[in-house]
Amino acid sequence: MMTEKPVFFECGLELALEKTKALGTSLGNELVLIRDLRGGIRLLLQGSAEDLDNNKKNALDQYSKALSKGLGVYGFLPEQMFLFAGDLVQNSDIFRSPDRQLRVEEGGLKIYLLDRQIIGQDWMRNPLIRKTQNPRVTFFGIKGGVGRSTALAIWAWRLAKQGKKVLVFDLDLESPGVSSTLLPQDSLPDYGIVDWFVEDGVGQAEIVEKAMTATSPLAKDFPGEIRVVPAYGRDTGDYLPKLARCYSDFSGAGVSTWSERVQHMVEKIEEAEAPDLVILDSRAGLHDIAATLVTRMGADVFLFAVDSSQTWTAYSFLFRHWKHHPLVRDFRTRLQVVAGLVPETGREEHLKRFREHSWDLFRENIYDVAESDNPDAYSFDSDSEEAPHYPLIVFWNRALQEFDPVRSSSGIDKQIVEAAMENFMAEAETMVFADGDQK
Amino acid sequence: MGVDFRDAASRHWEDAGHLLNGKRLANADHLCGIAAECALKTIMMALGMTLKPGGKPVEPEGQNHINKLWIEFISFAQARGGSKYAAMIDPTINPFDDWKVDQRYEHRSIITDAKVENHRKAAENIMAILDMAILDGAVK
Repeated sequence: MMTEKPVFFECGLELALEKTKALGTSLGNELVLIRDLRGGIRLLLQGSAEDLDNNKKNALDQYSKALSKGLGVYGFLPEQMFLFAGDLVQNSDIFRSPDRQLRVEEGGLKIYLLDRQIIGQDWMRNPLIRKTQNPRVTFFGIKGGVGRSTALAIWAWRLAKQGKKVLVFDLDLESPGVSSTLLPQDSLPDYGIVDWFVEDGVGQAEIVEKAMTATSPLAKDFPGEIRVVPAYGRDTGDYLPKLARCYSDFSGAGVSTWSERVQHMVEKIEEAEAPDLVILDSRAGLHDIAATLVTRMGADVFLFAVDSSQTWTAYSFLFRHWKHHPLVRDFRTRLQVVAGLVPETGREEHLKRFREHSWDLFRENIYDVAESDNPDAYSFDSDSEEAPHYPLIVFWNRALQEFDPVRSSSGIDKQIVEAAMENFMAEAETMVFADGDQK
Repeated sequence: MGVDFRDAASRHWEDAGHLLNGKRLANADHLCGIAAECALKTIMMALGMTLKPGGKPVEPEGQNHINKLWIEFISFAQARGGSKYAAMIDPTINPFDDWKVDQRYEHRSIITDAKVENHRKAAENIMAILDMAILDGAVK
């Protein structure tokens, strides 16, 4: 017996695209390939089986047999290789799902991919609708330990000093940090974000909503204020069983995606607090929390990075995925790279290398290809200061390594934080509070 | 018996639509309930429910009609990796509470417009959950 070469996940889609391209427009001008939870691929056609004449039936038959054989474990039996949208209850919604990504456009044929994933869909979805107007900023790092939370706390402190009311959400639920940096135990509110999600699941979020925000003593003598929505509160009790229930897609008896629930929670508290700025501290990595906070909340996004191959490789997974994002043109203007932990020695050399790596990441994935005749192309040189890849800088500082301002007697030292963070803070303020909230 | 819950779900659902268009409310209502039952059982089969040689489900949860299956499905699916589908069913309100399989022996006048509409909507929701399971590849 001939041993066939095994088919792996990534080859499946290539093969299916090739075979589907070969169909031309014989089965319609728009075809959708569905890649299911296991990676299995099949074709979704408009209409129903009765709409096909014999020629089309033959074409579909040939295609199904060939694809079924070619896809191996990522295929189905030939008669299961296709579905008709007409057989589905919400047929047009599914065929025109906003989650579908255009993968091939040639000769009048468009082939879309509809990726059915257990998680991760949010990286590719539209922004959520919001009612509040205040600016939002998301602090995100593809890897942890790059000084993200420290930078957040110090910037919030400075903004409060300037008279701003800052509202901080600790959405790093798996590893809450900002909560304790900004709030000592005795300042915690009764509840936190995990309590909101659990109680919202049974339809009584409004009870905890009123008792999940507290004032940070860090800004107590300032004209402004730091209000904090921590991950947990004084009465949260056992954290893990609540965390384990946070990510469900239901709200009370209804169905609501996790992203919509986050948006709802943030908005409710924004409405009550009327802040000048909201800062969302995202969990690190390619988690769904980050997907929502980075691409869907209408926030300016600080992408924290250190110059290591681990960091750039991890970011490249995300950016490569964004190549196919239908709305990358909208949200790429809201991204801003931040170089964290920039060493005291050899700064210029370090930053130069950092810029090159950051530029590669943007240029290869989400900048337009520079064309001399197109002044509107979204494209920048490596050393272009207004570019999102051109980093804001947070310098490494010994004193900030044990940063715990609400518990240490000295609080925050103005000179130290200015030395480490002036570039970042000043640029961030221009970015967020400048007219139109855009760089 | 060659049980095929998936085909049964779609044909009962289609026929319920035809009967509704013809104002045949009583039998339309009956088929909405049967379609919903078959759709949930299709998903339960995909999540591991097995059948006895006679075609009856082995698992006790699967031996119910929709008036009981509505709630039973939730715990069955949650325990078998189908919480995504379970979450689409409202555990607090069972719209098929007032539906029973034996209504086919009763007088047509017991089925009102409002009753059918309630069951039709609920069945449509369940058919959409089945669609989701098909698109996910859970149901082949």
